[in-house]
Amino acid sequence: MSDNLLEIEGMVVTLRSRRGDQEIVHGIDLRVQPGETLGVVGESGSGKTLTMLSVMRLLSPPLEMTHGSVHLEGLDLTALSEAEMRELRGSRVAMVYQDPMTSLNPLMRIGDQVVEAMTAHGVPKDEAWQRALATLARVEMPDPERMAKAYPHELSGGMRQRALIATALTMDPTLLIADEPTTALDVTIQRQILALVKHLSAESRMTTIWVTHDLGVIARLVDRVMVMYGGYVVEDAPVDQIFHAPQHPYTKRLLESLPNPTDDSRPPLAQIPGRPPLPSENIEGCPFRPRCDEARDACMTRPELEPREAGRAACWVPVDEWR
Amino acid sequence: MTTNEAAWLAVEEAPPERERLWRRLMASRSGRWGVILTAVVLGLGLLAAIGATPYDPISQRPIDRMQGPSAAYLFGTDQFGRDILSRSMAGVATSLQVAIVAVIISAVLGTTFGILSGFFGSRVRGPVNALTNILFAFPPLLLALALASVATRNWFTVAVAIAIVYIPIFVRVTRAPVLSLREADFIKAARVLGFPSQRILFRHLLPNIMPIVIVQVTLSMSWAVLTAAALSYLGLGTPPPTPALGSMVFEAKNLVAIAPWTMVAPGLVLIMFIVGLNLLGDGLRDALDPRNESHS
Repeated sequence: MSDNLLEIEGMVVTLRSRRGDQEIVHGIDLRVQPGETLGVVGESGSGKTLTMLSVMRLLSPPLEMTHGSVHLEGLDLTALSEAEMRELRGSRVAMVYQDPMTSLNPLMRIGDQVVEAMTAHGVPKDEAWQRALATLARVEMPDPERMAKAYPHELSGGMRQRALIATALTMDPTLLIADEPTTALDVTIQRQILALVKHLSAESRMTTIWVTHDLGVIARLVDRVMVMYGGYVVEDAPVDQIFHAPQHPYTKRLLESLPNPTDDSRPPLAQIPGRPPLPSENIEGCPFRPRCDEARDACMTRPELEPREAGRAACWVPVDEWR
Repeated sequence: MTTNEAAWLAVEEAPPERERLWRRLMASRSGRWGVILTAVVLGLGLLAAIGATPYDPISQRPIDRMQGPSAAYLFGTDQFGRDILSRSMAGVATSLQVAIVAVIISAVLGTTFGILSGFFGSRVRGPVNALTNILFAFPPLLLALALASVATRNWFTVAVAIAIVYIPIFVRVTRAPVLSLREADFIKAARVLGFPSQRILFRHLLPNIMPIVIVQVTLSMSWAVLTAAALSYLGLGTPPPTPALGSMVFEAKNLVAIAPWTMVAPGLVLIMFIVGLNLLGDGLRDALDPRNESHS
């Protein structure tokens, strides 16, 4: 299966400390096809961001990827030297961050920051400025010539996010990781940015991974959703199945906790009782067991991620036995 | 599209950063006085540096010794008949030379170590910390005295001694903001975009801590001038016959009963110099802090 664009196998992320090591991400397997759009969903602390940072090899001590492999277009990223990896970052894999207010250098003009994203990867300077203007136009920045000369504090949040996306996309990466790129924006701007990234990735057949805690955001964006909980993948399925026939109780409860103003049969703001496990807690069996309505004796052994319907889920209890 | 229009307006209206800084500096009282005092003393020193003193500050004229202030000698003469004003001006030039070289050395080395120890992990931070702590343990003047008495004495070794004393301040002052900037999203973003470390350090981190370094340079200048004066007062500064403010005050101290005017000029420029640099530092600190920006 080397026609996958991204292939993660058995990824374990460990927090090292003097008092002993703690596993935070417990063996993630993930395959992403070229051109596919994947959503990675989970609560804070579910390990979704750590997984993506490990792909870019940007974990810094005391966090470390201790097991597993990452292949990008057949290239083993874990075997690359730091210099080779740096060459890859920003050129073949790009990442868009959550907070456009602080992710731009306050002392550099927008255009220079886009230019720098190219010159760092060997694009000659005189060519880079023209390309930066073209990229700013691609992210639908009004009047790119003028905006390129502006400083970040002179732009609105939405414009800054566009500028940030421009720095990420200007080298035409094959893989874009969008880590909650709209969290800091208001809802109307959020929609614009989502539509923009969707349009851009479709246009250049760029594989995109959306990392978010908001199922509502990705419903119309992605082909497939991977649900993470407590450092495990609990479900991985096509987006339709996730929304209409979830195979894991956690996914079901996540969906139920989405506010739904048209459905009167449910409380307006449902929640999942309890809290996500801390990395230091060693929950026996299924990590979701303490909060799960369906939990039974079998759940004291940890379920593996196994094929279910069109996707994969890690649950002992078949859907038709759910309460 | 109102936000965009607002953004364009902002682009057009913002005056150049340097001009705005100057305006803010001159708007505060301490900034204004700092600029004036520093400019006056710098002017005196520069005049002396190009040889434009009323009299030769070194050659002795025994006929005119111990004269009080007059039209010919504005601040009087000393026991060798040398013009106090000319000697004070030359003294300013000497201490400027020492202070500038000392501060350049300590700012460059201190900032470099501060950035490195803030940016890289404990392997760099440990040794740098240990070294700065050791240097910090000594009172500055005592350390400068000890260092100045080791090497053959000329203005440069004095400057180096003072520089070593003030390196730890720059390490401390720059390390803290680097520690927090290192976690800033735009530094992380730079790593995500595959920028090499030295580029992140010098293109992204350094400019963002420059305001702090500039203020520290100004304040360190005043300390360096003061330390240089103290060393020469104690006889370990720039060796005679080169005039130095400290040794002039020392000589004047012995003559204060019979020729009190010998104390006035060197003491006055020293005070003006140090007060001016401190006020300038205060003013710069306020002017460079964007939180103090008033929208007029």
